[in-house]
Amino acid sequence: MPSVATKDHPGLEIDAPLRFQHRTWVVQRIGWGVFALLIVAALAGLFGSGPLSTRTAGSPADLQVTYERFARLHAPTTFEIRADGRLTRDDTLTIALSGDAVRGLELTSTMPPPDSTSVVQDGVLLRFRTDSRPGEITVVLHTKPQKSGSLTSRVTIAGGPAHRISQWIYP
Amino acid sequence: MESVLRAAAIYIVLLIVFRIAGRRTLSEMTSFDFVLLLIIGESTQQALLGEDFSLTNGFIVIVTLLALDVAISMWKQYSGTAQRFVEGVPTVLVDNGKPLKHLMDKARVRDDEILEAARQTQGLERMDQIKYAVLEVSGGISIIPKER
Repeated sequence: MPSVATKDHPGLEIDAPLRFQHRTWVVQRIGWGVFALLIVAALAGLFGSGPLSTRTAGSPADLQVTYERFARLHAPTTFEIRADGRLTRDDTLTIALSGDAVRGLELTSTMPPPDSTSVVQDGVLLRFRTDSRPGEITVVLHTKPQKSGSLTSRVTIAGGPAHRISQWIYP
Repeated sequence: MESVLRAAAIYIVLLIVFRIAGRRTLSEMTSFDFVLLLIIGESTQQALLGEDFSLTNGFIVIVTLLALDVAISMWKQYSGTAQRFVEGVPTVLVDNGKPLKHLMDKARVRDDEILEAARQTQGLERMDQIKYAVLEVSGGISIIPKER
């Protein structure tokens, strides 16, 4: 925008609109506030891994799943599954995963590794051999989301309780 | 498709974030600012490429970034308002030897920074030898000395 020497600054040919500058400063200060809010939200876990994000479904008395409500695309996120030993059948605990757990998540590893897996309609079964009198059994699934957006998975113990797990995956 | 969207998203986010941080951020490169810039580059790199380290992806990302840069410069050429929004406007901080304190505070510029620029660029000794000091859109300070 061409301008001639202003009456504010004789001899200086400059386009330095003070009104725009003041408005810029106001917007910048609002922006700094937004930065601060983003940092607080990130610390709290709104973008994954933090107190706001960690969720627990069910109770350790039968089946409990601890997971991240908010996760990020291609970033590792875990599911901690605790099952009561009474849910085993023939010394085997069978965990069924279905829904977006199959389509939207990559299962990178499980700890302990399953003794066998099989495909069923809309899901997979993971079988873990146990000793004859197990107490509480803990299985950790290490996964990587492969789709962004809302994912809804189901975790079921064969012949036992089921939990619906919904997650939001940031791109 | 994803590569183009990624590159565009990063470009726009960086543009907005650096505009909000203000022109004084990273304007005079201290060694720490340089390190900070490297870290920002490093954190951007992963998001830019994702998990695809192929030559094709790198090529698409580079072309997208440069095309956006050209497009924005054309937009700035065409519209003065766009230029103001993208680059900001210069601010006169010293007027006839008189430091404009209220503007300097908001722009985060101190007296000694203006004097430093006056010494380095014009060999001036005192504030009253400065006719105008202007904080340019680049974040640098330019000094116009009084005629003797």
